[in-house]
Amino acid sequence: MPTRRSRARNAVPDAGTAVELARVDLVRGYRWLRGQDFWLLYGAVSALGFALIAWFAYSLGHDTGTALAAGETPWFAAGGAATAWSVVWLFTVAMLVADAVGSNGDLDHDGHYLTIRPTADVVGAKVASAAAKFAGFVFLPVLALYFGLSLGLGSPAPLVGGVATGVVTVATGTAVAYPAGLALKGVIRRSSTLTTLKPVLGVGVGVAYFAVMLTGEFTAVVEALRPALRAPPLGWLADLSLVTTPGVTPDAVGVVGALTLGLAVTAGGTLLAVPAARYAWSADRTVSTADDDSPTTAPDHAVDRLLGAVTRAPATRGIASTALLRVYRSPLQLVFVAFPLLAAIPVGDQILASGTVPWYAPWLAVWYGSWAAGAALPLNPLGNQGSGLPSLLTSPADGRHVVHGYVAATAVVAAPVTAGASVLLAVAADYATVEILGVAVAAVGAVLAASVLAVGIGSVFPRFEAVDFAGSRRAVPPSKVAYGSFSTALTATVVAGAVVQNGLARAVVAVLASRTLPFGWRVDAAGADAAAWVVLVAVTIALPVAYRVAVSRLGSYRLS
Amino acid sequence: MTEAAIHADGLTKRYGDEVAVDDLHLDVPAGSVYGFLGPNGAGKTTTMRLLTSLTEPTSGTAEVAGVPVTDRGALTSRIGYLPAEPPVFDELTGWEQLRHVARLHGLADDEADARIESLLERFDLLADADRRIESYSTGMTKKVGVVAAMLHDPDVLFLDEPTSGLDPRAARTVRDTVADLAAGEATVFLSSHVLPVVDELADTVGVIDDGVLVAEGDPEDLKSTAREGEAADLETVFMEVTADADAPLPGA
Repeated sequence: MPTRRSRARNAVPDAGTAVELARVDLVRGYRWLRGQDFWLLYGAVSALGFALIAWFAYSLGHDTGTALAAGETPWFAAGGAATAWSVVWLFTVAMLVADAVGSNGDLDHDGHYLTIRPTADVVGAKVASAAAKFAGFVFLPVLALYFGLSLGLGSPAPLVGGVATGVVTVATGTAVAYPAGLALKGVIRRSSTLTTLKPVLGVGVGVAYFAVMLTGEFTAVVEALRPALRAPPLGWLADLSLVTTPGVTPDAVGVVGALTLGLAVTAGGTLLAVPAARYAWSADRTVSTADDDSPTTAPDHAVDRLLGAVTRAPATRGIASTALLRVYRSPLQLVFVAFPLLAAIPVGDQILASGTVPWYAPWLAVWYGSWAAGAALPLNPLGNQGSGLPSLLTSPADGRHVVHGYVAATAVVAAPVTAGASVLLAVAADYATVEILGVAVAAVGAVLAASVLAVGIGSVFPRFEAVDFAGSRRAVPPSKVAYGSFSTALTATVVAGAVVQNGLARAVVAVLASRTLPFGWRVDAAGADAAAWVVLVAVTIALPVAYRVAVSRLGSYRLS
Repeated sequence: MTEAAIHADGLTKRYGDEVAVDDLHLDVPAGSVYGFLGPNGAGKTTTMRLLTSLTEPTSGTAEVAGVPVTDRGALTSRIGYLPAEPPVFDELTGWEQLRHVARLHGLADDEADARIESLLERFDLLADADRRIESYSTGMTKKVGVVAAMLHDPDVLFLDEPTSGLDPRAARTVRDTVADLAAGEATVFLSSHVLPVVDELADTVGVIDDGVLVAEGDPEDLKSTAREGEAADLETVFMEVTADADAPLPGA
C-alpha cells in the first residue's frame, strides 16, 4: 500500500538525481552533435543570426545606458523592456513546447530508467536538461544587452538584474512549456488522426513561423499585442530586470511578483510535468487495423505504371520506383533541399504586396526546380542505398540502370512540376509567347540535365553517414563537395540560360559582372551573352562526361 | 572429382598495415554447405565481401561458380548474398522490397511476384508482406533478407548469420531451406555463431581467426581430432583452435 512518503517520491523529483540524469543527457547531446556535420553547419549559420541579434541587443543596451546616464528616459526603460522580456518569454515557451512534443520529450531507454528511478526524477531531469539547453538562446542576447547597458552607465549593477530575469524566464518558461508539451504529446499519441497529421502540422507551424519572421509581420504582431505584453504578470519581468539599473525605478510589486511567482510557477510546473509525462509515455501508440483481414496481394502503385511507360529495364524501374516510394514515405529526405524555399517567402510576399510577378520569378522556379531535382536524389546515388547497397552491388544492375533510374525518377515528378510552376509564373510576369515556350523547354531540360550532372558528381563524391532527425528518423544527405560543386554548376547554367533567353537578365548580369571583375574590367550585354553561351556549351559537353563517369563509377564501386 | 563452386588461392585483404584476410585457400565443392566460423573480427565478413566482389583483394585470386570475383558483371547473376545486417529499406513493405531486388536481377514483375508469394508463404511472412519493414521484428526483417538472397535462384549463396534473431520455427525454416538448396545443385557458404546450425548443415567447416584459416575439415573429423582428443562438439573445436592463433590445424 502506498505510503505518504512513497506518494511524495512518485510526485516530487529528487534534485540530485535529476541533475545527474540531466548531466548525462547533456553530455550525450553534446557528443552526438560533435558527430553531426549537418547540424553543426546549421548551428554555424544560426550562430551568425544570433551574433547579429546579440550585436543589436548590445547596441540597444549601450544606447539605453548612455541615455540614462545623461538623465534621459529612453524607450527601453519606458516600457520597451516589458515588451522585449514578454516576447522572449513567449518565444522560449513556444520553442520548449515544440521541444517536448518532439523527440526530446521522449525517453530513451525508458525500460532502464523507469525501473531504476521514480518517474518524477526522470521528468525532473528532462525539465532541467531542456532548461539548460535553451538557456544559451536566452542568455546570449540578455548578457549582450545588459553588458551594453552596464558599459553605457559605467556600472556593472544592471547585469545582476538581467541575469536574474534570464534565470526566471528560462525556469518558468520550461516549467510552463514542458507539462503543456508532454500533455499534448499524450493527446497526439492517443489519436490516430493527430498522429497522422503531426508531421503536416509541424511543417505548417514551421512555415508560418518563417513566414511571420521573413515578411516583417512579426513586428506588426508584437505591436498588436503590446498592451497585453506589458501587463502583469509578464510585464513584471522587466521590473525585475531593471531593479539594479541606476536611474530606473521599477515597480516594487513587479519585482517581488516576478520573484515569488517565478518560484511558484517553476515548482508547480515541474510537479505538473510528472503526471503529464506519465500520460505521454504510457500511451499505447495507435495502430491501424483497417486492412488486417484483407488478403495480401502484390503491390500495385500508380508510380510503377507511370515508370513502366518511360523505362524498359526492370532494374531501371526498380531503382526509380524505390527511390520515389522512399521519398514519398519518408519526406524527411527532402529537408536538405527545403532550405532555399525560405528565400522564396520574401519573393512571395513581394508578389502579394505589389500584385505583379517580377521578371526573374520564372527563372528562379527553373533554378530551384532543377536544383532540388538533382540534389534530392541523384546527388548521392550510392549513399541513398543505405544498408541496401550490397543488394545493388551484388545484382546484375549496372551503372546505366542506376543513372537511368534516378533520371527517370526525377523526370516523372520534378520535370512537370518545375515546368508547370515556371510557365505559370512566366505568364503572370507578362512574358512573350516565345519566352514562355523557352522557359518551359528550359525547365524540362534543366531538370533532366541537373539529374545527369548530379548523379555524375554524386557518384564521385558519395556520402554514407546519416544525419539524425527527430525520433529515430535518419537521412543521408549528399556530401558537402557534391553539394557545392553541383549547386555552383547548376546556378551558372540557369543564369546562362536566363541571359540567353531574357534581355533584362542579360543587362543585370552585365552590370553585376562589371562591378565584380578586377582591374576595372567591364562587360556589356553582348559580352554577357557570349559568356553565357560558353557556359551552356561547357555544360553540354559536361553532361555526357558526367553520364559516363557515373556509369563507370557506379558499375565498379567497391565497399571499403 | 566434384567441381569447386568456390575456389580461392592466396586471397589476401589488407587495410593499411592491418591484415583482414591472410593468404586464404579454399575449395568448396558444388552442391555442398560450407560452415564458416570465427570469433568477432576474425575476417568472416571480409572474406564474404571478397568472394561476392564487394571488396577487391589486395592479392590472390578467387572464383565463384567458375567466374573470377573481379568480373562482377558475370558474377552477380550467379550469387546471392545476405549480409549480417539485412539489406532492406525500412520505408518499403516486405513485398515491395523483394520486388525491388527482383527487378535489380532483371526479373519481370509477373514472374517475380509469383516467386515472391511462394517464398513469403514458405517463410510465414505473406500475411505481413504489405506492412512496412520499419514495423517488422528483427526476425521478420532477417527473413526478408534471406528470401531476397535466394530470389533469383543463385548457384552459390552466401549467408552471414542467417538464423540470428529468428524464432525457433523461422530458424528451422532457414535450416530446411539451406538443406533443400544443397540437396539440389546450389552451394551455400554459411557464416554463423550458432554452432549447432553449422554442425547440422555443413559438409565442411572452416574456422578463421585473425584472418587466417586455422582449421578446416569435415565436422566429425574436426571433433574427433581436436587437441584434447575428447572433443564432442564444434564448440570445443572452436574454443581450441581460436584460443591460440599459432595452434596447428587439427589432423595436420
